[in-house]
Parts: sequence; C-alpha cells; structure tokens
Amino acid sequence: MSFDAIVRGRTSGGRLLFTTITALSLAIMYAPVLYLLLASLNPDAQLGLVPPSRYSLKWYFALLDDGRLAGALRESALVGLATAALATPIGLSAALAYRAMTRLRGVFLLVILSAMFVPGTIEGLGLSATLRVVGLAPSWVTIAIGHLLWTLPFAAVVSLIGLSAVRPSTIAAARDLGAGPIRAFVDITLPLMRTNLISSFVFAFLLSLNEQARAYYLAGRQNTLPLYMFGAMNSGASPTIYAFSGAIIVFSVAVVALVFAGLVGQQSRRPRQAPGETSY
Amino acid sequence: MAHSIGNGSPPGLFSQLTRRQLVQNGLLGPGALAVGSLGLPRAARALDEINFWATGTLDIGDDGWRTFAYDSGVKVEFTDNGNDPGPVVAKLAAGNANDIYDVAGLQGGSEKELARRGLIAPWDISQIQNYASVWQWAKDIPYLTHDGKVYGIPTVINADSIIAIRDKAGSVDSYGVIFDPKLKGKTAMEDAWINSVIFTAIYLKNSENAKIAEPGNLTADELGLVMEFLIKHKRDRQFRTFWNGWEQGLQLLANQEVWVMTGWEPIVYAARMRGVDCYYAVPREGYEGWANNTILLKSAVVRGRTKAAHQLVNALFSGFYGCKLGLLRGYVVPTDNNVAYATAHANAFDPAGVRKLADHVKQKFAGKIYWQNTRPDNFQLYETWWQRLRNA
Repeated sequence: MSFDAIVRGRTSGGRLLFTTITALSLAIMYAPVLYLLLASLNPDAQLGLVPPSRYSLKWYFALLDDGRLAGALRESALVGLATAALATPIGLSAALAYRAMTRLRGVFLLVILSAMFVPGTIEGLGLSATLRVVGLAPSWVTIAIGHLLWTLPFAAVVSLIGLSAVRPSTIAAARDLGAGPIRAFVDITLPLMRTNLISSFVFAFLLSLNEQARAYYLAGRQNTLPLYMFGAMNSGASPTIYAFSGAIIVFSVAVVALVFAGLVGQQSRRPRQAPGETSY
Repeated sequence: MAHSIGNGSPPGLFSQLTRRQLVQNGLLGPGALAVGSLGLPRAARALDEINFWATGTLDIGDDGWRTFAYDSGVKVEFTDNGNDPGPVVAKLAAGNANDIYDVAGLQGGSEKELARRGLIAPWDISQIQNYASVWQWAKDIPYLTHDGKVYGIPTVINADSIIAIRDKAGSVDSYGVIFDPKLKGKTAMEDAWINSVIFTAIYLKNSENAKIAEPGNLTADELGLVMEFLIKHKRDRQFRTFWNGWEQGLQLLANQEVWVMTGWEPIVYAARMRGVDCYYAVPREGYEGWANNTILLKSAVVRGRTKAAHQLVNALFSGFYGCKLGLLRGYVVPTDNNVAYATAHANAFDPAGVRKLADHVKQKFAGKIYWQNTRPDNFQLYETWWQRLRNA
C-alpha cells in the first residue's frame, strides 16, 4: 500500500482515515452549536443539557414578550433584505464584468475580494466618518451600505461560480438563432444561474443578519440583532438569549440547507460539458 | 401581602398581581398615576424626548422608562452602547454618535479626554436640583471633572472584588486567592484590562508592597510590573480562563468551572439563583470602585436639547429610577432619594430592601477604594500589554 494510494483515498484504510478526519472536524465545528441548541430547550435558568423528557420551548415563547428584540429583529430584517437585494445584482454585474475583461482580470478580482479582508471595525468606523461628511444620517440605510461592502465579494464569487457553468456554446447557439445579447442573457444565462442568484441573495442576507462590527458604527437609534444580543450578554442576559441563538441557528441552517438542496438539484439537471469545451 | 389592584377587578391577571408588582413593572399607566395612586405630582403632559445611549447597566426596561417618562416629563429612547468604552469613544470621536444621541452613559474615566476633544459639554449643576442629594464621595470621583467643570454625573456606583464559591474556596479576604497555586486552573479574571489590571495592581500594592502609586492610573513601569506578574501566572496555567461578558462569567461559576474569580456583584446574585452557594468577598486590600457616568453630548447642546438633558439627569436622582434599577439589577444610584421614594411609595417598592442595598454599597465605600479608570494616561500601553497577555 503506497503512501500515494492512501492520500488519494484508493485504499480502504485511506478512505477510513479521511472519513474519520472529516467526521471529527465536523463534530468539533458543530458540537458547540448543537450544545447551545439543545441547552436552549432547558426550562431552567441555568444553561446546560437536561433529559429530553424535560425539553421545553419556554424560553422561545418568552422571546415573544421582548419588545426590543422585536425591534432589533425588524431592523436586521430590513437591513438584510436591502443588502441582499443590492448585493445580488451588483455581484452579478461584477461577475459579468470579470468575464468580459481581457486585461487586468486578476487585479479586478483582487479589488472585489479585498473587502472581505478589511477588519469590520475599521471599515465601519471609516464608513461612518465618510457618510457623516456627505451628510447621510445614521439609520438602517447606512448599515445596509456597510453590509453591502461586506457581502458584495461573497455575492460576486457565487455569481462567478454560476457563470462559469454557463456553456459558451449555449450562448453561441442562442446568438446563432438570432437572439441579441440582452435576449440571450435574459433567456439563457439568467435561468441557468437562477440557483446561484438565489444563493447569492440568501448568503448576503445571512451575512448581514449576523454582522456586528460594522453595524455598531453605522447604526442609528435602533440596534440590529447582533448588537442587541451583545449588549444583553454584557449586562445580565436572561435565558431567552439562548433561545434566540437557537432560533437564529435553526433559521440559518434551514435556509442554507434549502439553497444547497436547490444547488444540488440544479447541478444534477445540467447537461455535461462537452469534451474540450471551455467555460468562463 | 398580595392584594388586587382596583376595586372589583375581574379575577385573572390583575388579581394575581400585587400593586407593588404593577408599579414596578410599569403597568400602571398615566391614568392611574394621574389620580394619585403613586402620589406623583403631575398630570400627563407633552414629553421632551432624549436619546439616551448607554450601557445596559443603566437600562430600566421599556416599562420602567414609561413610568419614568410620566414622572419626569422626559421620554427616554434608550439604546444599548455595548458597555465597552473604547468603541464608544471611537464612535463619539470619529463616528456618528453625536449625530443621533443626546446623552450617553459609560464607565468612568473617558470624560477628560472627551471634554478635551470637544465631544461632550459640561453639565450645569444648578439645573439639576437633585444633584445636591448625591453622596459626596460619589461627587468626588477624580474623573468627573475637567478644567473645574463637571462633565460626568455618577449615575450608578458600586465596588467590585472577588466572587468565591463557599465550599470550594473557603473564606476569602484577599485578591491573593486568585494567584494562589493551590487553586491553579480554578481561578479566573475578566478579559478586560479596565478591571483586571487594577485588581492586580491593588493586590501588588497592598499585599506585595509593590511600588504603585495609583492602581487606576499606572505609570509605564508600574504597568509593566503588573502585566509581567499576570503573564507569569497565565503561563503557569493559574487561570482557567479570562472571562468575557456577563454570561460567560456567570456560566463559569454556575458550572463551577472556577471557584474564585474577580467579577461583578450581580453575577453573585444570578449564580445564587442558579443554585450556586457563592459570596462576594471583602478584600483586605480594598475594593475597585466604579461609576457609570452620564455625559452630555456636544450635539445635544447644538440641537437645543440641553434643558431636557438636565431634566433627564435630575430625574435619574429623583428616586423612582434608583428604586427600579436596584430592583432590576441590584445596582445603586448614589442618592438617599431612593430610600425616600421607596418609603413614600411603599406599595411599589420595599423601603427596607432599598435601604439595605444603599447601606451595603456605602459600607463598601467606607473602606479603601481605588477608582476604576477606563482611560488612564497610558491607556494605549495598557492595550498593547493586554494583547501581549492574551497571546502569552
């Protein structure tokens, strides 16, 4: 049994090794999340696991009485939807621009992606100062602007992935049949990228929903959800905060699972690329 | 002593609540107050609105603010600022905080810097009648003034020390227990230099005879001494962790992962409610005193909100706010008006409980106190050292 064979997973031992590593990694990644989720069903004030027979939605129902939480939820939803609604088409435009470019593509992509690596605090504070200079009052709009900068690279990458799967021959066929560039884009490219665009929207929304550092400096009088939770945890949180964390986890995982299922479904329906055919 | 509110109230929610609970929860609306059920002086009127941006420590909840508004004539729009002085100062200096908030509340120490930079305005004490009732030693906190003017109003005051689990740590009366090798891995401090550095400095000054003049404002050499001490103990695995935020601090105790730690007194109450037999130690080296101070943002003056801001601060010391805050969080507003208010409104608050809380805090301040300072002269060096400790 060669080392190369093990590394390539061609032996049962190699497959077992990599399966074990993967399972362990996933367990380490998700154990805290799972723990918090189960602990949120503990009806006692103390965070911890209880027998399933004692599970209760008590703290989830208590969430309904928290007016400020509801306000923060509304603010985050508004910001998230606005962010996603803008990031998706702009991300798609960036992907299309990248595809159309013949020179400096790498630089363009680097510029687009670099926003991912700017620390949130610095970006938030800098943007806050800039928006102040231009006279834009702090509100959900200013948070959405900050979140747009944050989510745009992700949206562009998701669009690029979708675009790369659009076969040039399909577009060429549409053009041969008389479709103009806009018609070909609307009738061919967009439908083929539909799931990626939905993914882009959802990822942008979820990223916005969970973002704190930028929102702190850009928020108006109404805090967003992460800001509310941070404050609550620093000044005597009730166990409802566990329930709220649990609700956010379930919501986020469910949305991502739906998108993933859609992506897999779309992939299975796509025709295979012809040998030798290049994609974008 | 449960009795229902209102004659002939239908059985149900109201019949299950005491009058005291209703007032404490702010369920009595202006109508009830106007007929004198609380003995409050005024009928409903147009309210001034103040955007109050402060740590959650100063929050009395939506229901509390409703009663407060009726009582004071000032409607408070409260926004939590996260309790970390660094970002608060940054948002005031370079961000948009001055555009949207009128009054802020944060841990004391930043006032001089904010005043020097023209970001906050001095208070006109003559417009705050209840300021006369504020305990003198609270007024004397060294960080409240700049150029002879009062920039910080001590709104909530307390003194911190060590939390100990009784059957694990025994009798604790010194910060030395945090560094005791016998408790290796069972001690913790907060992941915040504004607390942990001063605690260590107080200990080194008083029990190790270290040359430290003012634990709340260390020179570069003194700070180096303190930080090397902490780093050494961290490398020796003395600390279970450096906790961050109320919830983590509480969990460490509730799960008994640590037996002693420096921390906030309300965590003791919360841990007891979760079944942990813990107590707050009286350290022979002295307490770390802290105040959450109210500051007037410069833009509030520009926007013509000065009068309403002073009205707000005056009402913070009128008694109801202190009673409500004490009930909700166990914190003390430094005025005897709380006791007077509770006595006058014994149907709403327990006068004995309010007095006990005030006496408890006064007792702490009768001994040695070293004031917390969130902006010492070398604060950037503090940041550097603290990062070094985290990496150690």
